[in-house]
Amino acid sequence: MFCLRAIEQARLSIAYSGRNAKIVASHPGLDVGPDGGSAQALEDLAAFRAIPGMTVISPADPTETVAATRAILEFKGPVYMRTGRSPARRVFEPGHVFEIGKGEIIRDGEDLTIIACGVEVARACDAADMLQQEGISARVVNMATIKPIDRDLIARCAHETGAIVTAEDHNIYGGLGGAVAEALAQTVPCPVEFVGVKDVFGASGEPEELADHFEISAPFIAEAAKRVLARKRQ
Amino acid sequence: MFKENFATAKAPAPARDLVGELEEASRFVRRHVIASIYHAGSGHPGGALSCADILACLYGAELNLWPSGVSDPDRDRFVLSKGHAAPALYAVAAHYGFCDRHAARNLRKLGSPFQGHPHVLELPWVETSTGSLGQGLSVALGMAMGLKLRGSTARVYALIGDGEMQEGEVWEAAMCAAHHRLDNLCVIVDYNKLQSDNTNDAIMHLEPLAAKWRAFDWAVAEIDGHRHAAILSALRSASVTQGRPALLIAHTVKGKGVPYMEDKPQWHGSVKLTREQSEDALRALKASPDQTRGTGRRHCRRHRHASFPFAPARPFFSIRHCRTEHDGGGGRHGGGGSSAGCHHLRGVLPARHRTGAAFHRL
Repeated sequence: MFCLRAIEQARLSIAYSGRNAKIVASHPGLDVGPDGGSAQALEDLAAFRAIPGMTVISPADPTETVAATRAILEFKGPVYMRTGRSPARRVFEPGHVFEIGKGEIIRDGEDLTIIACGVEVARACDAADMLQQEGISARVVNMATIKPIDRDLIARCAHETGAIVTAEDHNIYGGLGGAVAEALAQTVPCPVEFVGVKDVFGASGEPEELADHFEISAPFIAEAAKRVLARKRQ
Repeated sequence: MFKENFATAKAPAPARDLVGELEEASRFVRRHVIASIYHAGSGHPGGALSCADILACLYGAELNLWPSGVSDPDRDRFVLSKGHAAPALYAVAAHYGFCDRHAARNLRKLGSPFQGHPHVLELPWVETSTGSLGQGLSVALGMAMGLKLRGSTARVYALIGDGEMQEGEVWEAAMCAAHHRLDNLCVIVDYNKLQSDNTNDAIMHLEPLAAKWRAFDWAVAEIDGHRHAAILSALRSASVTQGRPALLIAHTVKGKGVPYMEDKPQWHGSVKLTREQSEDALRALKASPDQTRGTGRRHCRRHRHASFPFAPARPFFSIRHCRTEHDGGGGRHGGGGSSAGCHHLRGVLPARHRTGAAFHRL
């Protein structure tokens, strides 16, 4: 949660110096809960993504965290990995294969694509269920590597579904949403809606309560999906 | 047990009834801490209980800070650098009328001003947001420098944790404060010897702590952080020290007052208190209806000092902070109770604040 304190050291002593160091930071985002805004890092993905050569990863569940930990140990180069605090819902079965730099379609759909990372992957799946009941077919992509982002997959999803929603437990600026929008701008531009914390600091409360309050829970992802669909049809 | 480089002014023993009032305030703080963490479902009881006596002395008898004057540019400043002790800060503030007693029920709740760590934008009497350890002393240092530049006689107090001193920023601030000879800055270490995961010694040892700060050119004293008379005397000595910032190493017990929490790192937090645990704690703190009221009467440093039989070593009198008449300077304002000049809250706050906040029964 206080990993931003070391941003200058990460920049100079690790990335600039070409060190093969791995930073693993727990207690990210609103997931921290009642400790409050002072402890909720909602800027880390953006900050670390801006450091040249830094690989940035945010796994979705315990299974993927284990797989990602193994992967970064074998990977050569500086890595920032954001893990969780509160118990995370399992998204993947044991044996899940993790590859740095690759996104994964975990549920197929035709009308739009929800690209999520971290705790938002499980919420994106819930949102897809809600949308299905309304006759909307949503594809869900787990984008565990925020940098380097999987441009090919993003372009393919934009091409095939024509609308994108991003979801992250992070500021809407500079994190997954920013990375996806940058990739789309240079490949297959399409309507995008961003689900994340809207450029404010967090607050005390239970994680699920905060997800509703700051509008990053499943119903808000579903709402964003409907907004993006409306823009797609225009 | 003052060490050689501390202020030479011998501090007379404070009046017995003042100590009694502060003991009552500390009991209130501890009960409030337990109740509010129980209601919140999480929190950090250990470090909040260990600094209850220090906070009671600061707010009850040292800070020149009044609920009606939290924006006064010449108020004394207090920075709770160990922000996780927020429940104790909220409790002492409730006791002395800075906020109402609903703190106990609203701690850490969504939409509440009583955030898990103090937030300057939520509560007007909080000087700076804390919670990311190591930063509070630097902010206090900036305040002290600013006050000096303005020629203000106000003082700045910061309470830091022991584990917090493992942050390098603390030592950068320590060097800077001594360099600028900030004798208006007083730092108190809540030295309970434990941190989140284990003892300080097991994680990264701090000793020889007093020698380190002395080497940084601070005036250093070591005191029993649970003896109000000792805390008051040390604060008095700090306030008359010239040319150096002062550090009080307050030896404390983590979880003080609740036997099953005392000296056990697992109660650092963030922990959930069950109803049974809370009731056990309250029993240990002897919470009963007739013991849940504090006087809530405050004595600022200047008045407390005025009551000492010796002449103060620095100009102490500035009546612009006082809301009531002083009887020509000869009155005993710090003695507690007999002088009208001490009842600063009278006429300023609603009656429920004047008597302190009653404890919420579970």
